[in-house]
Amino acid sequence: MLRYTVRRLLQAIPVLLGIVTITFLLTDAIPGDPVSIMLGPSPNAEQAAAIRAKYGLDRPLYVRYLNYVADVVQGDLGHSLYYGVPVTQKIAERMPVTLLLLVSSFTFAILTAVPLGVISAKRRNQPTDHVSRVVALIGVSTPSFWIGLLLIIVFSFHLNLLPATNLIMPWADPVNVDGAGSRLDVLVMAGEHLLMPTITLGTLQMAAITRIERSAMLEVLSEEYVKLARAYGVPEGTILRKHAFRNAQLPVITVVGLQLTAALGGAVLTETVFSINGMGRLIITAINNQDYELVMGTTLFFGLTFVIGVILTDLSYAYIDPRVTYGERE
Amino acid sequence: MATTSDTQSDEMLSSGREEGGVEEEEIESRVGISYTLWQIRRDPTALAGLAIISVMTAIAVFAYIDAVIFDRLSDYAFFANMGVEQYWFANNYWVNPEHDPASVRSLLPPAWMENTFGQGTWDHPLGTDHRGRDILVRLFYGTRIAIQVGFISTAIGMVGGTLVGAVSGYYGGWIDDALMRAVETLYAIPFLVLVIAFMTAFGRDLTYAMIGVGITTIPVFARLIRSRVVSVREEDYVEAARAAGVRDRNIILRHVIPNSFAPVLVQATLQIGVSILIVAGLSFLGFGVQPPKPSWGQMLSQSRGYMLPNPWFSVWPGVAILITVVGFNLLGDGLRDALDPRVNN
Amino acid sequence: MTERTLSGLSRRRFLESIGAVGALGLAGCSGLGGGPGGNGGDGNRLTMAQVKSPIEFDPIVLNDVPSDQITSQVVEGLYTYNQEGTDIVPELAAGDPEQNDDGTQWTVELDENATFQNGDPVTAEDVKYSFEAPVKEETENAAELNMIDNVEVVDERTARFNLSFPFAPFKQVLTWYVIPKAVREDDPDEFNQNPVGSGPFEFDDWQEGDFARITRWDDYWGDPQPNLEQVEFVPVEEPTTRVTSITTGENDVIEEIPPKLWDQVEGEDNISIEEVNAMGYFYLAFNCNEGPTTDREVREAIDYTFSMDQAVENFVEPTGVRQYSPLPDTVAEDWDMPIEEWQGIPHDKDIDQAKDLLDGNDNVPDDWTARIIVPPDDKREQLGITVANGIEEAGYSANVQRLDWGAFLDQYISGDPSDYNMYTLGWSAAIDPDDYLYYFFAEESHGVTDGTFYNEISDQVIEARRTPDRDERKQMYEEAITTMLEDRPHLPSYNLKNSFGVRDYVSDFAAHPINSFSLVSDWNNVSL
Repeated sequence: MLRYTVRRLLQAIPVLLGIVTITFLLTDAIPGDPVSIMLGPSPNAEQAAAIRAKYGLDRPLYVRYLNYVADVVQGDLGHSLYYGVPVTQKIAERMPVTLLLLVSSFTFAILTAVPLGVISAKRRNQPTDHVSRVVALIGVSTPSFWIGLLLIIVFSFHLNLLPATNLIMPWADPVNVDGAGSRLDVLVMAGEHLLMPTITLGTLQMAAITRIERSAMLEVLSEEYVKLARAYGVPEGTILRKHAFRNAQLPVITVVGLQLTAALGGAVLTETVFSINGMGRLIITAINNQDYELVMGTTLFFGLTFVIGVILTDLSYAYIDPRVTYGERE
Repeated sequence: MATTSDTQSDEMLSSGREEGGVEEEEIESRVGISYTLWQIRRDPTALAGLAIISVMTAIAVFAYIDAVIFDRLSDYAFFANMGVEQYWFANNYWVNPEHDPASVRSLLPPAWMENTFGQGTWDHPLGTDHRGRDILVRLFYGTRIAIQVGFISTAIGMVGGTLVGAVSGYYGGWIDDALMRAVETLYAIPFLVLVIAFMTAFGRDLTYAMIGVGITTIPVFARLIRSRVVSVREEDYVEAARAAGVRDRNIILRHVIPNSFAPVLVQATLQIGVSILIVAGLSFLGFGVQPPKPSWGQMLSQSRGYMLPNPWFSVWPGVAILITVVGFNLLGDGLRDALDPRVNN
Repeated sequence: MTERTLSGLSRRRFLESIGAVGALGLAGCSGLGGGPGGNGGDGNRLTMAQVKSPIEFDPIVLNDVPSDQITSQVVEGLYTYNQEGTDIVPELAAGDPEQNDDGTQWTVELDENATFQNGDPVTAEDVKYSFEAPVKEETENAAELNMIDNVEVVDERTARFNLSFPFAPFKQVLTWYVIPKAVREDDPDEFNQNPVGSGPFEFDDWQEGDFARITRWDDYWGDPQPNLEQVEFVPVEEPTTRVTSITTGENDVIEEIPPKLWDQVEGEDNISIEEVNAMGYFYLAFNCNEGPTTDREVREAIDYTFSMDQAVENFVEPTGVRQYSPLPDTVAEDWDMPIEEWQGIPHDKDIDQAKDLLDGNDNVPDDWTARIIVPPDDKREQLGITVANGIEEAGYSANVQRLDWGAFLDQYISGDPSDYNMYTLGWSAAIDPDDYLYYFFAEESHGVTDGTFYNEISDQVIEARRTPDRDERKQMYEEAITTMLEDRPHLPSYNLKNSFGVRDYVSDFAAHPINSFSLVSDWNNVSL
């Protein structure tokens, strides 16, 4: 298991290097000049040259690339021109917000989707199944940001029940949270703020997992050993719990991991809809301001999150399914 | 069964990407396309999906003819008078859009409702946007963008992915490793972020949106094809062809790819829906077709400023996207079930 | 979209941003202050929603509106603008500045009580440092101060500015912020996150994108002491959400009311709108460098294709007002300019007239497609579309390209007709007519801040900024503007308002034409 883990980690290295290369080349291809954006419409030529030299923008491409890779290896993602702070500092500031959003939306998705999928499979072709299939179909066909807009219209503007913007971190200092007197207030407010973004981002995952859960369950339920158990008169509930459920989770886990890439993209949209200052909006700000190093840093962060997510699912897959061997590929 | 976790991931990746369809993992590889299509005939939901797609495609083609062929000159970026004047059809035979800026009625609700800007009118059945443009007309012409983007970007991804996957799976070894690492890299960057970076670098218009989405779709198809190829490669008839001295390229093109094509078709159908969603998201963020050309995502983006006075402005484009994507998902599900009778009834 | 660009553009000589906040003048705010405010009227804390989050607080480097709105409560300038935004009044200075005969030397004496929040007195050395640092460090603000050759420390409390050339509008440069040299030199990065000034509020804490908080400095050296004890600024970018946040009482004051929600906000019982015309100038400009629009007759024909009055009424009001010259009405009135005469110059819509002029003109090809570029802002885009509609009506084609700021800034100064025949843009500035003429019509601005390349009034405009005598300057400006309006390199369009939604339990909150708003000053003091 340990060897397998190490091997998975090593395999991630070329991927990460690839991400660095792709983002570096893409950001380099961005037309225009961060310095002119920074200086506005009347750049003074000398001043611009000085700023360029200061940030090493005047050097050839390969030199900048090698320097950048060397810096990244040492954990230095460079300096944000726009914010005037190190990229790592900005990422550290924004990351908890996005992670909170991702964790809560996946929790929401799994907690609703798994029961829904199982019930759907169990009551196949009954009304419950139809309803859950329609819900799942609509879920995978709806633009997440539109769900966010509708939620805001209904729950914020019309019913005035939930706040339409921003997130509050549950661990925030009550002093810095407007209208909060105590830790409890902060927690309640954090929950209120998190609810709609969670649903917005989680719906797609929820629907996707429901669909895979259902079909995986159906598949397992048609296996010989399940039929055999049935023939022996084992109660249906026991079959579901003891035999089918665990085995059906394998493809589900893989899909959960792979949903990460959709979820990370969805986070950009969700953060935009709810004006949440997380990584998603950071990358948009960075791109709009041609803040090269911030663009590269945030993209690398997204790639890293995904790679870690996939490794984690692979590991949990291996953990759940004893049949998986960790040998070399044949 | 010595499945490596890697190959499982590969297969899952190929199908997991489109949120949910994973079942084709075990699809019978020899089932022909015509047979599959024939099966669809008996599946009402798939037929419903096909109907939706047909209607939307017809609208898109019509809008394309109207907007591009009829008015080639002014199509480029200029929407005279409140945004629809260059549409010959809309101007002459449809609801008459407002021409006089002085009498523009913006943010009207749907015909049967009333808001602070007045009573809705059947001249604008779904209401008007912040510039007094008819929402239905703009939805109609926005269909063109959605359908076009869905088909073209998926085609790019399908062709690219099929080639990469076939070569990778057929040759194996270091070629396989190199290509698969590249594909993994592409896959590891969330597609929305990748396309945004791509469009910032090359241009914020529709062409680059389609190319960008197409490129990010390559891994989906590459992995799918590769996993098919790896198994097809061992089939007797391929072995036989190889023994008979048939060249690799021909084997790949004549045997390997055709025999893997059915699942690709299923994947492509589902992927079109996903691409439409991605492009809507891109337009929402301002990276898509540029205003004043109408696209659904961009309409949603513009509607954000007017959710208080006219929430319907935010409702309709979403409904349009939903219906279209549902169409592709229904058809895709139907095709998949037809391919894999085991899961279906 | 590009946040930095937008905000960066908002200072004098920077183009008006998405129409968010109106002008911020050169440096200073008056001794704005805050006092006891309250959340929902329950105390002495004021919560205010800004359009965007601040990003930095060091006046030497900061260059965006939200950051300035907060920093200006903490630091002060030698002078600040008066209530009407027509003149400067002493803030850290003891009295009016003295200038020599040719306007190259200005001397300012500091108020003897002026003290920084760390207890140090404000000295001439601090003044020198504050005015010279942006140029020395080549910050984004250097261009605002580069007419200063050096600052002389005459004595502890007297500073003398030696200019490189006579610069008549210099007095507004004196509103530049003064900061404690010792504190900033010690650690500039720290100063950027936690500034120290001499203003009525001390910087408390902030989190980018989340909040920024200032609290009353109880030992403020000046008058009056603010009533507000604490002010919290919260960025709420979505206009709809911002409006909702004041109707629910989440925020006490919100910045910038969107046009379509104006009536709704006004209709709320417990909310009023505080508004004042900003110091801005929005216009349609022609490419006078190359292409059909170099011909005066073509420009006049295009003036005939649409009604500017109508366009402004439809797309700008009530968030702005029609403006008939480059000068905002406040400035024009202060300089006693012939506003009524200027109002008569633009034509009403007359398509036949336009058609005749265009058809008969050899410079206009029969299949002319006019290219109009606009920045990413609805009002200016709509203006562009209105013009395009008119040109179509007159039998020619036109297309409107809405560009991102980066692309727009690259294109609009090229002078190349394949980039643009016309563009719409806007400008925020301060109190001197020079602000509204030099950067658009002086030859040395062509291709830098000016994409019209119109030369007729260049000499007058340059001459006027070097002439110390106000009457002579007025004469030159009046003639220049009249010539320009008749030649039509620009069609002046509108000026925006600085508008705020204010809950009724907030009293004395004031919008300001240049400083955006005022919390505490000689003429107002906000309380809850």
